[in-house]
Amino acid sequence: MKDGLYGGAALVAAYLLFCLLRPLSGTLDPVVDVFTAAVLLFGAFRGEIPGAVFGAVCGLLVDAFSLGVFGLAGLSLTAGGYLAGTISRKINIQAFFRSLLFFLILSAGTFAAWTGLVALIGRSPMPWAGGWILARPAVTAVAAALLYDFVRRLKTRHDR
Amino acid sequence: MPRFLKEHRKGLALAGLMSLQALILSFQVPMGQDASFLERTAFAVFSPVQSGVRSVFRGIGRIWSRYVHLRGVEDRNRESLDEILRLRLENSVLREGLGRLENREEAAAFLGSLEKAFILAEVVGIDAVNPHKSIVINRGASHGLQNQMPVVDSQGRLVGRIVPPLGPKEATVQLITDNLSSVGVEGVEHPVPGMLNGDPGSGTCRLAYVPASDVSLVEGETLVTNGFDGIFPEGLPAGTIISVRTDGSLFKKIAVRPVFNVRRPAVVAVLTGSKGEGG
Repeated sequence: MKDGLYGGAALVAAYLLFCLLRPLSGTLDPVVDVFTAAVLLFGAFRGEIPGAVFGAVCGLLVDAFSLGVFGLAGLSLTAGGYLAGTISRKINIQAFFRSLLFFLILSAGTFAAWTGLVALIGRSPMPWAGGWILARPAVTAVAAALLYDFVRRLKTRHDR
Repeated sequence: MPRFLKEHRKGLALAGLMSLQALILSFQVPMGQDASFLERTAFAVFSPVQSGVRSVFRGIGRIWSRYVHLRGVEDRNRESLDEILRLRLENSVLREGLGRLENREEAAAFLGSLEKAFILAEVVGIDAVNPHKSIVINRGASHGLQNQMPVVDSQGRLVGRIVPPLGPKEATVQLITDNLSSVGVEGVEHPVPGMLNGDPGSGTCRLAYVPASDVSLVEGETLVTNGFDGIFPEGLPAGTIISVRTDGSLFKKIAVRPVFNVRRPAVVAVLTGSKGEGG
């Protein structure tokens, strides 16, 4: 129940941020990936099952607002959310640079899975944006690590 | 709960979710079918949020200009701009239509039909994966929009067409830069017909099926719709040729830069009167 409420709130927040950033990001549209950052963060905070479910919902939402095969982003984000939940429980990602590396590896993996699926099933050219799309995992990782650190500090202060 | 399920609960949940997504993917075979119920539902539920977010920020931005700075001027300016846009589009449709009419009665009937010729809409969203594939506008089925209706920008230049999912208040527009888009076009100076296909990787288009033996189409030539596709009316500016080359195949490789500009939120017009007329 608690996971559902948190998931709903996170989904609304991610979607509002997406709506806000999308028209503002100009030519760097493909670099900003709000949903991957949200899924990895949710998985890291709430665990593998909520992470996978949240990834599936976010992925289907992304696909609903894109022409092409419905379900492609869902597959990669489901796996991303699940792995974020599993790995974050097995290693220590409390330090900022550890979490940055953790999010970088996962966002790169999610990006690679999505790119592969688009090439195999979607048969649609990637929005390269002059190569800037390759910066997506790094931008996503930095955003996720900063937010993770911020929320973790807030929680620590609140618990005291 | 059986022990096996208990022990492998997490793995089974992941497998279930992945299978669900694979099932959704399999429903879309063959490609080209209408949007699924789930896709239409997600679009219908969340698309008003885009309009809402845009309205909120537009409203905040207007507070200064509307109530503090130059009260009333902004309103009049906006009305004038809308009127200019309407007249420009009307002029474009008139010129295109009148050119095809042969007598006074036909002209009178055509002018009477102009009232319902187009619907103005604002761009409220851009494709979530690739900005060169589609946009979302704040007019939908309840405003009379239907699939396949052509969409032009404020200068009357071709933007794309309405495709599923079509919501009651919002609609998806497939841009001519989408790889699944095909538009029948020809040159203004040299009316050689071809098919304009999108290339969302670069945000440009390709002109296909122009024989390698043709020497008339060159860089800088403007392409307009020819109506052969049965979707887009003839005479809409679609793009400009940026390169022409041959590689030994039957057809030329022609790159085209689209003439529309919807990179920033803008007003577009849906040509409701021209659906299905196509030439």
